[in-house]
Amino acid sequence: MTIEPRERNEPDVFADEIRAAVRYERGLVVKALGVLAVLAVIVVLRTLFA
Amino acid sequence: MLHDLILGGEWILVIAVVAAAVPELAAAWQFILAACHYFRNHYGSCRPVFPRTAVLIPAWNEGAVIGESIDRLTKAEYPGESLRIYVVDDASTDETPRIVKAKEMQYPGQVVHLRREDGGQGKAHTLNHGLAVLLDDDWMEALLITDADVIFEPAALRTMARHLADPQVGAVTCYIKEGSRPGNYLTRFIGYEYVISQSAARRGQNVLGGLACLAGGAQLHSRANLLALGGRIDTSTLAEDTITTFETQLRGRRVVFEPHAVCWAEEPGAIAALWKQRLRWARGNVAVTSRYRRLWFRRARGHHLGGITFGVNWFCLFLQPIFMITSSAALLALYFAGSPRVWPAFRVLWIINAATYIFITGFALLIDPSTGRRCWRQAVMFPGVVNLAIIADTCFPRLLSRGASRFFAASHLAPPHTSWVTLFVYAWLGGSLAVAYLAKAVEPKRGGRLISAIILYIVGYGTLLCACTFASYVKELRRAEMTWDKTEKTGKMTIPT
Repeated sequence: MTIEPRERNEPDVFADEIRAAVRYERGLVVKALGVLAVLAVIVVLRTLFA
Repeated sequence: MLHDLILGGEWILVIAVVAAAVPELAAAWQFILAACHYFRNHYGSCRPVFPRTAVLIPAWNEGAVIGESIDRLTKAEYPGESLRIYVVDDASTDETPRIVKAKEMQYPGQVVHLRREDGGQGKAHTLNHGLAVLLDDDWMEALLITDADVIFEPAALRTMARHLADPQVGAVTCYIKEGSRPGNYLTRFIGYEYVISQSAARRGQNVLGGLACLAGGAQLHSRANLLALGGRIDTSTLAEDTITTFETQLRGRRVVFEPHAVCWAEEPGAIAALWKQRLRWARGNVAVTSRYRRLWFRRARGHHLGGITFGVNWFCLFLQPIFMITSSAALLALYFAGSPRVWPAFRVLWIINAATYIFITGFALLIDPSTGRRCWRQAVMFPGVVNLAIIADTCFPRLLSRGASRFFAASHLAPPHTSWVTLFVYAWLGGSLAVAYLAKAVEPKRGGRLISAIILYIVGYGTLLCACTFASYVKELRRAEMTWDKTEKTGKMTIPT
């Protein structure tokens, strides 16, 4: 059974929400890289001052 | 002789010590995968669909919460003609039947009260009662299984339903947040735990293509999937949600986690209630691990449950208490045998633990900033005071050893300061499980709630969950009776605005 789109759809809202979700996921990539960068700084400091 | 034997197997002991970092590395890898959700997600296959959806709520004495849940569901951003709510009242003896009947009158044609006169067999049996009724009629195209206390945000259902436009998808789950307000330290620990176990881990599982568990309180199934499952929920274990998730994927359908669909649930505010809930979950996982023993680490066409990463993540959670105990035992054996490798092994273990702690905590707080703002103290304290002190000593040994405090100077762990402190930290990983159990044991005593909270902050919330897992092994070995222990709900929950 395939679930078909119905008339009540709001394609613009749908497209906006999907774009927003994808944008949020892209932001998570940046956040992960940021945290990894902080971790790298701690490792470097730890190595230098150990 | 024992001394020679231990030194002969020195490298095995060193590996046993460092192996305790494997679960932490696996958790960090899940967070890396979560970040990859941008590159591999299901949004490209979503369409704006509104399947005729039946919401199935099993309810046993849920008078405190059921009315509010029904009201919220009727206000969902979903076509009214495509949404019906079925409450299976499992022989409730409180106000539940009266409240649901009142809602039936208030929302005619949209709310249906189904009564089981012989109840008390557990959630799966209650669900099956409702499923039999729903599948008897061809109106339903999708089924949302939820709990009586779960409150969906208005957009949650339509956001989940979009994924069902892809016929390959059998079921969709959403992000359940802890919603007790004002809550307490324990509900905030749970709130942070859900960021890790749902928002991050399930994103990672989306990337892998295999989900470990649909949230029991929020699972949307296509009718085709329910029929493929035989139209019934498994009743043989306490892990019916996990069994449903596995069986869906073993039949070739995908299970998707939608992190942007949010619902709220009230979680236990006391350690005893949390212990009861988690013991049930952990015993369910023991049953699942055994039931699918031919599945692990064996790749197969049509599903990803046999993948190496999936298996490693599953067993790291399942065996974490064993890793902790063997690590401590190996450290103590090396210490008493006078091995020169005991300190380097301990150091490697804690360098890995410190790095994964910083990465996981930092990223988790950013994945869900609103929960992060509310629960950041519990996030920081998640490993417990003792483990944090070891992490701090690992990261900044000079800071501690040169500090003003004589205590810190004396407790600095590196040789030659080998003392009772060193022995204590070597024994801590395994021993902390027993201390965590103490938090549960003292709670019912006079003044116990405060003491158990202090103990929990000392051992860490993660250790408490590991102790629960360990208790589930013991229960299984003793073949203790499996009973469905319902988590008590009070209705003290609001959706933050």
